[in-house]
Amino acid sequence: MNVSNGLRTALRLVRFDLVQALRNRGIVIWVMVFPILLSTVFMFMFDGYESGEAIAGVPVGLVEDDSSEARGLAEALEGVSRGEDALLDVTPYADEGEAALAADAGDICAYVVAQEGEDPRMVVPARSAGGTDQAIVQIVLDRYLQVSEAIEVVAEKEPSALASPGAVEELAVSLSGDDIVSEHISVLRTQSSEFSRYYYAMLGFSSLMGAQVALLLVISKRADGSPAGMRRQVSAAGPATQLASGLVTSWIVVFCCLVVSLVYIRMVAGVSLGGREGLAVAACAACALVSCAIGTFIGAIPRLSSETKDVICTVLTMGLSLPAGLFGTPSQRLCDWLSANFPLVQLANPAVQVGEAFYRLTFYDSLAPFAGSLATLVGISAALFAVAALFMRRQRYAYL
Amino acid sequence: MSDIVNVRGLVKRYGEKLALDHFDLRIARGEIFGLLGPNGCGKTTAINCMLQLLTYDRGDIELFGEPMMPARYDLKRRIGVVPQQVAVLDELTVRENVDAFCALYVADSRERRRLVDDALDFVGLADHARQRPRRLSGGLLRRLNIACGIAHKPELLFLDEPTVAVDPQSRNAILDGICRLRDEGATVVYTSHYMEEVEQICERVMIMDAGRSVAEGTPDELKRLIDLGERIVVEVDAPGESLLARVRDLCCVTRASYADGELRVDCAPAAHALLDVLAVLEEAGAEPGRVWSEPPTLNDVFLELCGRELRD
Repeated sequence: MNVSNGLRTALRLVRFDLVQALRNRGIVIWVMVFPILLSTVFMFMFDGYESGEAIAGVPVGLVEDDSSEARGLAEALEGVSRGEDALLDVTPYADEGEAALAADAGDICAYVVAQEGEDPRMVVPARSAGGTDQAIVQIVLDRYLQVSEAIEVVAEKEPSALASPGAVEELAVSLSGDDIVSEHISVLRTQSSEFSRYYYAMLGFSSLMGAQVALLLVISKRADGSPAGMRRQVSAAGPATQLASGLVTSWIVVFCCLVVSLVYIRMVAGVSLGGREGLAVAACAACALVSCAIGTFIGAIPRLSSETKDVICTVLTMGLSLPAGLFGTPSQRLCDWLSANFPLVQLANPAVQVGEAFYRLTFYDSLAPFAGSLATLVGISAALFAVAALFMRRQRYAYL
Repeated sequence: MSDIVNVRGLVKRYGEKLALDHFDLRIARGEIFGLLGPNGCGKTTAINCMLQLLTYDRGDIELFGEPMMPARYDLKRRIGVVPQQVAVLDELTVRENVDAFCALYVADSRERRRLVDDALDFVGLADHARQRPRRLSGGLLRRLNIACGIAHKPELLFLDEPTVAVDPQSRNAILDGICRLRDEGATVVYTSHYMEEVEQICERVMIMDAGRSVAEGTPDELKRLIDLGERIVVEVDAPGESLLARVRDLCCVTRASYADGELRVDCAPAAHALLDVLAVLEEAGAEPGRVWSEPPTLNDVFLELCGRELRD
């Protein structure tokens, strides 16, 4: 059988393989429906988190002695503590001791002391100095001091400017509103969402679950896999031709399922792909390839029943998805810990690499890291195909 | 008539176990050839070697007068296989199953449609064409198994125990179908441990045991190999040991046993065997009920040649 005849035969057989795969209950449930269900579950779960997420003001204490200087600062701080986007959450304390206790207890990040005859000062607990919250308080305080100084200069040189009623209030407004701007700056090209990782990990899980398609088709084509496989192996179509049709079919099925999942999480769940949807589809192609490779590898393991291979496929999918961060915060911590301490383990994990590919595609400016993930996926696929071929070759005419 | 199968000195080992021991086989074109033997005697191994599913340690296999090799797809195109287990795809309908397996041999879809129709008509499954295999009874499943193996009109058909766990009606339909295939020009290699079936449809039979051929010939030729003229069966109350001994002492008797209310007496070919046995029983005062005589079967041949029952 020459190559072109083999290809024609393989394409002829794809139709039957497609029907076989698409009518298999396990594949319909786990490869087609489950990713959509899981995405929907994520959507409802994370929607609750996101709607409950309010920007909380920075908790800060205030110790003041009711002097005029202290009142001015207190009014300025209250000005930036009002409204939905309040910058600070000010709690007054009677004395420094009480405020220090609250700071030590973590109720406030710092406290400001305003007393007559001295400049306002900020006190931070020693064990948590240098935090972002404290920096924000420091900025507010510095700004207040600058403006106070400016007012003093104005009062000295142009007292009429402060004669109008409400001048101090306007100053407070200027502190909280137009002059002080809090801007979210990200080093990533798209605003990150901690929940995106779950969806990307879900795509990794789906890719691995998709291995069931190749597994089903390989088993049904191997003489030692099933009676139907035995019948196929003695036919006029060579084993390579039949395997090719199975792989083409499983790639098509998994690719389509991944694209459907991708469209769903993009359009319905609103997960960002960084405006690189086209490349995301290309990523699905690589994910489908690794899926085929895993299914072929498991299907080619000699001397195991098809039931055992099914179990291996499921356990492998779950096991590899765990360090990819699919199963909640502990799983993501494990993912981060493994990435920091055992990067090679994560590199060899296709579920991790699928998630990484989408993460890098979405958030990184450069496409090089994304290309690196795809190359890793292709490399993993090549290695698995090579081992599978070795298994098939070794068992080919040895036993049944 | 030219040999369509010619196997010489085939040796196959599974580790230390010798599965085929210098196995020889010649099958002429257009005959139904029976491979008879107990489970594990090497029938399926021999077929798998001929189909190149298994490697073998030594020997030559020629099919259609040409050496059979794993990549001889031109020869495989002329072969059909009906394996022992039902080998169909659960996800496909009856028609799709036959079509899917036929597509491994036939490229043209229009020709395939005709062949699939023929195969479904042949096995009587045309009315079930849209059903999935799991909805079929055991007998219909076996017929589907056969349809998948014959749809491409093979010249050489291997049928490996196609009637296991099949009801009598389906069994008769299958056996009739095999004879029709032979009539249409196919050569059939039929393996079974049901001697009645082999005796019924096979022109020539090989009895196998422990991976080798024990005897080969037509059923009548095989029966003539053993020294058994007839088996006399007498319904009688339990005879004593002394009476059994007197029966065994008759010169025409080779073996006598009593079980389930029946005295079974194997006799060498002799003119007066029945009269002699009945005379001994009458002398002993036994009162026989029904009495009948059975001709030897292939099971008797196997018992004689191998020292054990075919289904042991």
